[in-house]
Amino acid sequence: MKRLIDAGLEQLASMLFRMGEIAQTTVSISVMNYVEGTHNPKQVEELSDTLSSMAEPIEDMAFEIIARFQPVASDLRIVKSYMKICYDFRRYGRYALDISQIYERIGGMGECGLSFRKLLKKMGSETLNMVGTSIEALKNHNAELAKTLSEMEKYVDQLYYDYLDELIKTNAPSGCTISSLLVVRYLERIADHATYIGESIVYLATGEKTTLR
Amino acid sequence: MSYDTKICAKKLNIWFGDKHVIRDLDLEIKANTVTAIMGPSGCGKSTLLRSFNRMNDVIKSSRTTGEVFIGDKNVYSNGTNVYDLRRQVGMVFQKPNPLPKSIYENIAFGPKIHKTASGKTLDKIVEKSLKAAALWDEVHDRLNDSAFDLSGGQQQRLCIARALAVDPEVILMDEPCSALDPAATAKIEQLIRVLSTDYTVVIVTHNMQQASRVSDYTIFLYLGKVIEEGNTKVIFENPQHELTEQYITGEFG
Amino acid sequence: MIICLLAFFWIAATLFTGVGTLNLDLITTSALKGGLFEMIVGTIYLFLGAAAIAGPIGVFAAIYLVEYAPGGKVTRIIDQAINNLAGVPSIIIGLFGYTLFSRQLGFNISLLSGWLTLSLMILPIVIRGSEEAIRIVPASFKQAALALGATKWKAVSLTTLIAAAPGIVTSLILGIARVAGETAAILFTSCVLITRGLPSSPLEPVMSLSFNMYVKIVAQGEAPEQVFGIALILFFIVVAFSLVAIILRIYYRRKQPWLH
Repeated sequence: MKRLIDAGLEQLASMLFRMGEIAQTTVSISVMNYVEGTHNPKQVEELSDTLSSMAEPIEDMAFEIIARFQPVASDLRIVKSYMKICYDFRRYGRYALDISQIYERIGGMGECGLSFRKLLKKMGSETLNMVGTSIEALKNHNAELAKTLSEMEKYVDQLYYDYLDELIKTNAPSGCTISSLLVVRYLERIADHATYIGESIVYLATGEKTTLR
Repeated sequence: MSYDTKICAKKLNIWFGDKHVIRDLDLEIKANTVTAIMGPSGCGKSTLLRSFNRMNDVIKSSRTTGEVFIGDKNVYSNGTNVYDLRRQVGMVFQKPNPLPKSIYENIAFGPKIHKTASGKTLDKIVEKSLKAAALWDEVHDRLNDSAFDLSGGQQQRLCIARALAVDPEVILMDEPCSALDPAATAKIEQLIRVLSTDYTVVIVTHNMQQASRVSDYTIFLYLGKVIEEGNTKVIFENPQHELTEQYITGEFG
Repeated sequence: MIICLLAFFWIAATLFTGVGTLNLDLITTSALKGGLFEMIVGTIYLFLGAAAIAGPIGVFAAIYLVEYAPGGKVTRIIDQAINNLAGVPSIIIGLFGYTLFSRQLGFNISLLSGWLTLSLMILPIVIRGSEEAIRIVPASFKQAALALGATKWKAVSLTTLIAAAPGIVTSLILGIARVAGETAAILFTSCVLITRGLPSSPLEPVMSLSFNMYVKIVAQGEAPEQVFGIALILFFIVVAFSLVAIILRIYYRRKQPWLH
């Protein structure tokens, strides 16, 4: 027989997973736009708004579960982690929006040098990879998968520093350098949040408090 | 605050007739803490509790082997004075059980039978005990009234005061709030926390939220054995044993 | 119940016709002068003495049976024996008492023999009544006392016994009511038709109301109506004791909140 709290937890999970899917879509569209040179700013904006409005109901649901069911042990860890992950999803949306806005305002990487474009493409795809992994790990509470985010994050950091090195070599700042600098920063932050989500998943599944960065 | 071990059970086995209720059990309870003993019905919680003050001896079919140390003395050794043990290790029962006497006489009962006080000293002890049990303000002007005139929660605090009157070191509580309403329960829970400064409190409870509110340490008992024991915070956030997790999240119980 | 009440009032009314033969003088005058004084006092001596013997023995027996008896075959035999004793016809108890106390122990026809014999009749009533009074007391009182470090005896005597006291006293009074008017048991063991004053030691015989009524009718051939007056007094005594028992029961019910 199901426990009373299970209905609440299931509803909370489905709300969060839905938010995760939308967050993933938002980041995808935004990054692909930048990397491929396509334009879809309105869609990114709408999706980002949707994400913001999904956060509060999730938090309310989490608090209701705490107040009514006094969860303990794994139930408690799930509720705590889900609330944190909800915030991380919001940040996904926020950074996706930032990338889109900078891209629309200042321009893409079309005018950047080849080496830059290569780095940016790699960062973009690796970051999207991390976002996908974080959501996959969440759906199954898969701590092992979550831990792989650690390696991925190191790689993204490496690309980031490579980019900075390249940037220092360039002399004249152009629209490309400024927009790409900001975009790289946002990508790096998205990667960070993916690792935070990974840490929450490890905690929720095993009770272990780790750092994946 | 010293965290020495106050109660220590070693290879404790208890039978009621043929029923093997406590099996080869070892545990330690630290001084000046509140320890909750939890577990599903029939796991032996109350039996374990009653082994600390040898109240199981009262049941004819009971048989106990192993050792229980209160402080550094094994209470199952041959020379033990059981009556002094029960003074030293007090007990509060599930259903409040005031004696059919006045409030004053209830509290005075213990000191009288142990001949530890009389006259004015006794008056002081009664007052001190009632104050320690947070009941003085409510009864100080009617000490000669029957104990049965008190409400359930007050009666239970009376029973606590009665146990305190003989200056125990340990207070055992067997589901002390299960017969009380939420307001009375809250009062007793607050009292338990305060009492742990001066006494070692062991409380058997069915109510998980109560265990998590009130205790520093929690012991999870199942079928007469200790499955897990540790800091309450840790047990309720991240229990190590599968059975503990299942029990406290309500998957069985 | 209505039949009982009807019977009661019919008996009372019948006896009341004898009230004419009574007056205060008669009650206080010695039998030597035609009065009833020694008979009344004798009756009272008899049942009070028997109660004094049966009371403590009965209460301790009850305590033993409830609190200390191991509960096996021996206890069941004792239980059955008590029930049997309660059912023995009083004449047989009287004969037994005569044989044992009067003859073998040599007490002859005396107050002492009467006491011992009557106590055998009171005993089952006191034991059963006290047992029930003790059993009804919640075990929680004893538990509380034990948990405070009392020995078993202290726990029982200072809590259970005190709480059971009203019930025990009531059972004793009922026992007295039972034997106050007893005739057959004291027939051979303690009574004579007339004595010189009150007995000065328990080894002397005594006069009693019931014995006197018996002798007057059977041996002296008086018409029953003549002794209605004496009967009324005896009736009065018995009814009074029963009433006291009932009143005590009701009074102490209120003082025992754990019963509800």
